[in-house]
Amino acid sequence: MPISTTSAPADAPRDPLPARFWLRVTWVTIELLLVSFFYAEGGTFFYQGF
Amino acid sequence: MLEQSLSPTSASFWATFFLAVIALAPLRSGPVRRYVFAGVNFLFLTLLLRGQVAVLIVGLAGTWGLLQLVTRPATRKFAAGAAGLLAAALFGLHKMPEVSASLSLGMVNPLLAVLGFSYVALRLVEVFRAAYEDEVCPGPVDLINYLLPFHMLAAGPIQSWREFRQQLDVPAPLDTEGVLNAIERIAFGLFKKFVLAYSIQRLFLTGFGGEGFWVNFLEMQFFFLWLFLDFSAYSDIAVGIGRLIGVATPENFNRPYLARNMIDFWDRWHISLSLWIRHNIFIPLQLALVRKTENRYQLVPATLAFTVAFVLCGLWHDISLPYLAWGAMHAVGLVVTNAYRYALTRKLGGRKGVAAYMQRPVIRVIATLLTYEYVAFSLLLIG
Repeated sequence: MPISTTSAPADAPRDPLPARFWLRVTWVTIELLLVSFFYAEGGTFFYQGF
Repeated sequence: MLEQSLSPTSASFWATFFLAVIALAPLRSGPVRRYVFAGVNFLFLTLLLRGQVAVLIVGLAGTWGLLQLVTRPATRKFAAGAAGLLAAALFGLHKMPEVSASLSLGMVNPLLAVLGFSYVALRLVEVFRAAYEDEVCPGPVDLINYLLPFHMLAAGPIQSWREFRQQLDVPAPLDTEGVLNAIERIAFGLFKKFVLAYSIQRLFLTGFGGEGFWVNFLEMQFFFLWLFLDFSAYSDIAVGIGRLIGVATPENFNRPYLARNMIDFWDRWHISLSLWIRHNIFIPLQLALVRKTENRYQLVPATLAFTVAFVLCGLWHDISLPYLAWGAMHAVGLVVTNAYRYALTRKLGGRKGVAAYMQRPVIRVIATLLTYEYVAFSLLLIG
């Protein structure tokens, strides 16, 4: 079996996503949790009436 | 009830959103994307209108037929006139339900409300104007996608026909960063509306029922803040969805609280409406007046054009005295800004002098505060 000398080994670790990415994901999650908490009252948008 | 179904507070809206993402994201063929987007938009309206969707189909077919006539030299003037009258009549019925009820046309109003007809009417003007000037009729699929995009129906933005035509057939595929950006935008919009705006409404807004000047003055500040959070929230959601499904969706706000005068304010607030007014009312009217007066009175054409454009802008929101007064107050602000800028330009020896003057920190702060309070005060008329 030929051995490739150019590709990375299959078990090589992937570049991890930067911490900032996970911080943003966490903030989006917090926002959506708060939205779901407040969402119960629903309602329309002011400009929707036009 | 139907109006609520139209907005991002309803299950049908989010069901359509997920369907649109799943259906459009993997598509790499422009024509197929257009057909699928039209199908999604039509499905959304069918969910809301049910049996009445037949009326919508007839309306769309009629619109397309009129557009065909507008592009033909023999019939273009007659068809453009008929289209204008028809759109104005429907707009009047939409804004004055008591009139439609007295004419036994009350059943038309729920349909127009579902479509968000105020916004559709402005898009109709754009598409008919383009057909009249360019003598090219859009196809039925483009017509549906331009007039009735599900994520821009309830509260805009009002995309221009030119921007709609210029968007890429197949947008670049989204990477992780792009997807996260879009989701952040949607989540921030929901957060603004349901957490921030809602909290301000519950804590500070009483419909200006407080006693004393300062209590109402304070509420005026919160009302302006609430309105911005509520309205820009919808635009954030629409822009975020547009990015996810690869449909160009214009920005509607650019930090309006930093505006230094009323002209600057309308460059930053409800930008898509402002651009529509500029393109379809202000510039044509100003140009016509400049030609008519042979440019003898420098400020007169702009003054008249601002007045007409913003009185109409007030009436577009609602055909009522409070909105007429609101529009007139904004027109006065714009006219005064324009005249003041004209006087400053003469006094300071040109635009460079004015720009340097406007950069002075004290002037910036005072101008920004004055603009903020002027707009906030105008909201008392409609709050």
